Amino acid sequence: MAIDTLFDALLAMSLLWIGWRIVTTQADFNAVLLFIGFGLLLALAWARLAAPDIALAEAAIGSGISGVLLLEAWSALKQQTVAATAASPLQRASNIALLAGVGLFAIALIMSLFTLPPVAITLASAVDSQLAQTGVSHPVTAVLLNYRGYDTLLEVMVVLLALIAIVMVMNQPNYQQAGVQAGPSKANNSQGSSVSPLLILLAIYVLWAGAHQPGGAFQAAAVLTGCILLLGFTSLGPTLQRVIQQQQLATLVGLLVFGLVAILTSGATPMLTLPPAYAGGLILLIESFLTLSLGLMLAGFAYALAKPQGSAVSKKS
Amino acid sequence: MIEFAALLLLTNTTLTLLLGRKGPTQADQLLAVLLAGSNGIGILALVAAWQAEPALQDVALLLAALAAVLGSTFARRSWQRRGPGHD
Amino acid sequence: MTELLHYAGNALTLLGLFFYLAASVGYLRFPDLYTRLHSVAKADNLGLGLVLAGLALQSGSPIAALKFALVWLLMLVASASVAYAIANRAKALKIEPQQASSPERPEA
Repeated sequence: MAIDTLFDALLAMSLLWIGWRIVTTQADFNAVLLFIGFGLLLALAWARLAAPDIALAEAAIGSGISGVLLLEAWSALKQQTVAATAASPLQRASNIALLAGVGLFAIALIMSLFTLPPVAITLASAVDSQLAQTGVSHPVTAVLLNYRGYDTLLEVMVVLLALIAIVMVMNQPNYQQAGVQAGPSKANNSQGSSVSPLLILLAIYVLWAGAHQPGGAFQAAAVLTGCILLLGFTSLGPTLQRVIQQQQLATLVGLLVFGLVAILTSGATPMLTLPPAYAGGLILLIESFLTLSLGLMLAGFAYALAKPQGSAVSKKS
Repeated sequence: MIEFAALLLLTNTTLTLLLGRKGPTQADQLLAVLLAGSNGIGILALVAAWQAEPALQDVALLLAALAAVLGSTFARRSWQRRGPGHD
Repeated sequence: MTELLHYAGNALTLLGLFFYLAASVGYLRFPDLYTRLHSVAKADNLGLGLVLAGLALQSGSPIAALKFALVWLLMLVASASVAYAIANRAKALKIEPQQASSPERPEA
């Protein structure tokens, strides 16, 4: 058998197996770890499917940052242990019936894939035909920030809503974290100080590269969040955490700039129709502030989830 | 050659994840994921050369950049008990 | 010259694969957490380094080689500090390393 077929088959089977284990494992920590591994293998699958943009987003956000957030959420939830009980025969029967039904549906869907007409819709040519007027030369960025800019605006709003929800939930008294947090060590300090300039440069590179190759604001924001979280482990950590939780304007500025551009470009044409002469500059402007905001929002997730016990934390109202 | 290396590395990753998730302490289970991440960066670099897609090198770069965050978060914040990961 | 680089690259990549494999075997077979940390670090340092070095030789592009060097550098720092952080925390949680005289040590 050809090596690439073997590779793809192994990848597919591993994904299925890990997905199965995530759903059926009783230990939450195990499920979190397997989820991170799953995200990594999924990024590989996207790479094999010649979709480097999605691979980049999956590796950075789906596996990297989401993994860290899940880990923080797990440690915030540890007090609430649910005893695992064996399923009664009725439950087991209904589980099997459900599984059979879902399996049949999945098979039907897969079979329908083979009966689709060869190429029903080709959007790629439509995207490429106007690419010169979008202000960027990479089709994925053009779709995200020009053709479908409105969707991206709403996505950022969703992230903001999630942050507000997390902060509100974590302010409940029964989510106080009970463990002792270790202090920063010299290794943490030197790691933070040596790697964070590199990470900031990397974030700027990924942001800039999004114009002509896979990259963009969300991935750059993930790198920025990683940088902030690493700095949070140094002796600068508590100060940084306090500053970030109080910096509501910096967290919102991406959304504000995006909204401002949306308002300014609405009028005769639909909202967020970027004029071709300024499109490149506007996209860079929006993406830069989005990177900053999203980075702060994602770091805000982690800091809200890791609230120390009993201290008065400034709320994001 | 490169494809063969990628296949071997993928087998390595899967086996480690499969066998390593039952470690005695939570840190052992986390090490399986860290190992998988390191293997994954190698596989991505190999696939980048295999498919002549330089963007995948950027994916490997981002993974390497974020590699430290998971381990540091676990060690500094999340690891409170020495037992296995069963709650 | 390109031929030589190609073969040298293949050799380095194979050597890197060996270290990856050795690291996994070590992780699965070593008796306690601290030795396993050592083993995982080999994958990050030697395994990744050699594979990337082999790929850099074969890539024919200095930018790619620089990127790979950056990847390796980031992984080195990450691996060292994470291993230290985990070991430090393990010590604080009173996880003892397995001594040669301890009764659970499997007969080698």
